[in-house]
Amino acid sequence: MKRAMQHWLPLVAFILALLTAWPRLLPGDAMRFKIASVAGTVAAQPSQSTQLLNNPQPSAHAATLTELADGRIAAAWFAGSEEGARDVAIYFSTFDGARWQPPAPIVSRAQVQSDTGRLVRKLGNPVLATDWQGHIHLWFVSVGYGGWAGSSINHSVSADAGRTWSPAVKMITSPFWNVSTLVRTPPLALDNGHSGGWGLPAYHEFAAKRSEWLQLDAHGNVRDKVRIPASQQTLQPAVVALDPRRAIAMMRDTGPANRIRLATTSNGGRNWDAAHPTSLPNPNASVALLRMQDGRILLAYNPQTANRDKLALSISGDEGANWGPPKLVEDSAGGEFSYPVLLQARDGTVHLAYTWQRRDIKHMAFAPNALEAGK
Amino acid sequence: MTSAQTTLGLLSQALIAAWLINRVALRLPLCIRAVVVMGGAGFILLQFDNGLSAAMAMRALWGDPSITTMQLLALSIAGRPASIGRTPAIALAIIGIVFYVLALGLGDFDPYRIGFAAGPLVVVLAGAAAATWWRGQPLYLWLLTVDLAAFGLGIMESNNLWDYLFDPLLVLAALVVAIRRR
Repeated sequence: MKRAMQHWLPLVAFILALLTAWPRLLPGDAMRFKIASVAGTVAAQPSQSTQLLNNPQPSAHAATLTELADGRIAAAWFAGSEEGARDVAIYFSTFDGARWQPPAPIVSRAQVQSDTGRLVRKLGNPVLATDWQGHIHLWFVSVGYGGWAGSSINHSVSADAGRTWSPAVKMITSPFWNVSTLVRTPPLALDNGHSGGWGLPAYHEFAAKRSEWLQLDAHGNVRDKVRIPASQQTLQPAVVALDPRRAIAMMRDTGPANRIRLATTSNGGRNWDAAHPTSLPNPNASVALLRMQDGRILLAYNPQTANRDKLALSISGDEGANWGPPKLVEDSAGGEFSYPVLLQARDGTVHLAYTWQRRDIKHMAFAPNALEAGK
Repeated sequence: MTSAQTTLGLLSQALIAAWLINRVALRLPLCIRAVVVMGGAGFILLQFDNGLSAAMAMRALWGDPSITTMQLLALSIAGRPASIGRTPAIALAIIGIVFYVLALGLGDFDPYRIGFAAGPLVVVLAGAAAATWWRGQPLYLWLLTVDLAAFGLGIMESNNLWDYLFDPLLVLAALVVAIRRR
């Protein structure tokens, strides 16, 4: 009797363990993008302004924007003595339509170290998004050892419009010491029942460069990871949804083609078609995409194959198949105007923010009709 | 506030340290060895003025070991080392190397994705483990059982089953066993 029990015990235990794990072994629901309803929300006179965000540090880079529940615009970026320095922190500020508040650090290296229980040597790219409850989600990269290719992603949430933030949680996205998954571009909200979730564009840098797509649940837990086919040598996919199932991603090209690459999905990001180069030049620099309320797609990019001293906007009226001529917003030889981010507020105002000379973040707010020729 | 998953991650680094110290101190009397092992494991958890511990530095380097690795380390420290055998070690080394090369970006296929909806993976692993159990070797079924239970309870930060099954350190150990044993 005892011998029979000893023999069968491992099998019985295995079945119990399998039952415990079963819910987590099943594939997730079909993915659908949440498409914002915009009817009747466009203001007659969207605000217009151009200003620097008064970065308090010598260096600033990689801005991200989100609209808060009360209609204010929030920005985050990383700033310190120089990129990669130990004093770099994530800074946060809000815009009330007229003025940016003085920026304040919301994430420090020491705090992330304590929160995640890991040595942290430097912080980088933040990404903001606001969920349907009005909570602000912040994703940012950190590095323990090595360069940016050794990055991993952290996630934190604010339930009080950015005044306080939850402890950072490390996201596990890679099996090899969790190295080399980075974020830079904003996520798309997913519409899976009432719980929601996120599709978060990401990329891999160590050993090979690839664009990726993370599916997260409403709490930020990773539920799937997709490598975009034929995305070798690309980084920082910028993604916009065309409808609940279709989206396009446009990617930074690290060379040698130096053309923005484009990929599409028609099943909510679960699978992507092979990326292909567009005719748009790219000097190995991040791009930003926005699907405006009128359905046109706005692209912010450096319209050149080398240097980042020009920054431009282009519009596509046919879901990214063709693009209008670039409208320059910056053109200064030897300058750096890079890492743009785009947002359209509920009142219709388009917001553009980008790294300005590596010293500050510049913000422009304008009405969509300002993009028409001659304006 | 440190989460339970972070605490487990730090303790798993202490387990690695304990195993290493135990290996070095094998010739010491058992009671002294136990003190040295526990003292050493405790030391790496100590935070210094800068808020850092050796466990945090180790964790930043190689992440958390898999549940399989933790089980094998614990068995070894407890004086009941699991005999994995050369053939399984060779298989794990080959699978692991191919897996990591692909996961690090060689080609469009990323095998890591399989671990997010891992039902088919579990069917294959369970079949292999049950076959060895039927032949009188329950070790692999026990290892997989604990891995699955841990995954079901979500005790690690990862939501990917692969991270519970093996890790680069285990693959490296398997490679060493595969090369050394003749």
